[in-house]
Amino acid sequence: MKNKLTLLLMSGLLLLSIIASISIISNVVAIGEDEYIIYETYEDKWTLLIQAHAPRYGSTEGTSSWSYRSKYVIGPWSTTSNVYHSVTLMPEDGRCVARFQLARWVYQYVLVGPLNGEHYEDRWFIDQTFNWYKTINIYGNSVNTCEDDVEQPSQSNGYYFIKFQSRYSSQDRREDNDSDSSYTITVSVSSGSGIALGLTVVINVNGHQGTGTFGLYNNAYSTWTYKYTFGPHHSWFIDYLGTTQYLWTFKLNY
Amino acid sequence: MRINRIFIFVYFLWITTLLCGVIIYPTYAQSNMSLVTVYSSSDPVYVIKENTTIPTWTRELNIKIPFNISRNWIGKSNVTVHFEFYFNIKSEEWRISTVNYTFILNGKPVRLIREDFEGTWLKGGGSYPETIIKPEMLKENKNNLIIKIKVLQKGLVESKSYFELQIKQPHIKIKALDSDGDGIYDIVDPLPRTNNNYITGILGIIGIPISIGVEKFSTKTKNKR
Repeated sequence: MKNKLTLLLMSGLLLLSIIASISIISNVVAIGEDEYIIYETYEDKWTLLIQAHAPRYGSTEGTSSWSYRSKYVIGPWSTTSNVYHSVTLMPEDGRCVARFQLARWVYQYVLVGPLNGEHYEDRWFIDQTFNWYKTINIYGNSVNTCEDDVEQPSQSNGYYFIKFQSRYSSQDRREDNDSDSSYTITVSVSSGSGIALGLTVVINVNGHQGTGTFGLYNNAYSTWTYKYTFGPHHSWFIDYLGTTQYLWTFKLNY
Repeated sequence: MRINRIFIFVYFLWITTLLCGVIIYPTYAQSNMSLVTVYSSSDPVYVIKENTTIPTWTRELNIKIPFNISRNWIGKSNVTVHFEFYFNIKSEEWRISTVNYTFILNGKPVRLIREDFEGTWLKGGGSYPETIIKPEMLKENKNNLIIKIKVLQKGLVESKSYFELQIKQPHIKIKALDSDGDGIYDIVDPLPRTNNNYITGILGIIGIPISIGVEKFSTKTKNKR
């Protein structure tokens, strides 16, 4: 009889522990800080998804299973937003292309506390994305160089673009093709944590300006490659755009 | 000795019924059915191509994908629309090309995607985030999806312009759902919103006091005799 009672008690305890585990997993038990939104505003903006630049007398092609994550980390509190997409751009002959999606950016001024000490935070984040995409040429006056690439195109359809880096600024590399045929240089971005860009971006939501970084990640399991093709009898100066060596901008040498 | 046998018998019966009803039968049932069905359009590739000097022009294309879904699968499966696209746009002067994709299911619009191409030289390809069709929009058995594509190109002056848009492999995918993530798909799951493994564990434990109760009842009945 004693053994059976012990067995019954053990069964009850096990059942209780299972229910408690499920409750915690289901976030029934909430543990965290309090937050009070003091001020909030939003603005729909053309948000950069991906960009690609082609050398004059050459071409660029990004190949993978087309699965990307554009990650924005904005402001001193590193508010993070992710946008998932799957379009690759293949510019040719000095053209530069950028692709955008209309997204609702929110600015919040928030009082946070009390666990880590009461403090105020500025936040910029994407609240939602819309089914409206825009792919545009961003090269400036000449296809020979990316020095005058349009970093902040004017507004389109009543919506402003976010500010991002796209210009050639200084030489990191040089390619001379004195042969009679084209050649291709391939750079590879591994899946998962492989970042292809680390651009500085500026987000302005109704006058509230936040600076941060834009990262483009290979979200597919396969490796993503950028293929840069250089035509015969020409030379180019190359600038690695952003903090990685994957996306190149060009200036024709001869 | 007889008491233990009753307990073991009742508990064995309890566990066997539980396992058969919640795990074994549904697993067997789903092993004999296709969990993914794909319906494709009649052509694998659709092309809108225009080689012109006219500043403004428009073109339309309808892609039809008829598909069937049984009553049991509505709400217990994920119905999604997929296609890949490829674009190649070259023009002497700056032009704006607008492509509107309207997904129409059984005569009702489901989703609208707008794509603008601005410039003189644009080339690329890819796909859009999948279009998920809500169960309440589906009809039992015959359904008809139309992807209506409308292209409008605008330029300021007459100039050479080449436009090509390819729509590749448009298809509908009907995939059985496993809402509770227990490996047993909703179409055969007696408890589609509750994890069958957890329930088996919990009911298995509850079976112990029930079996003890049956055993006690049996003992009392025997003693009265």
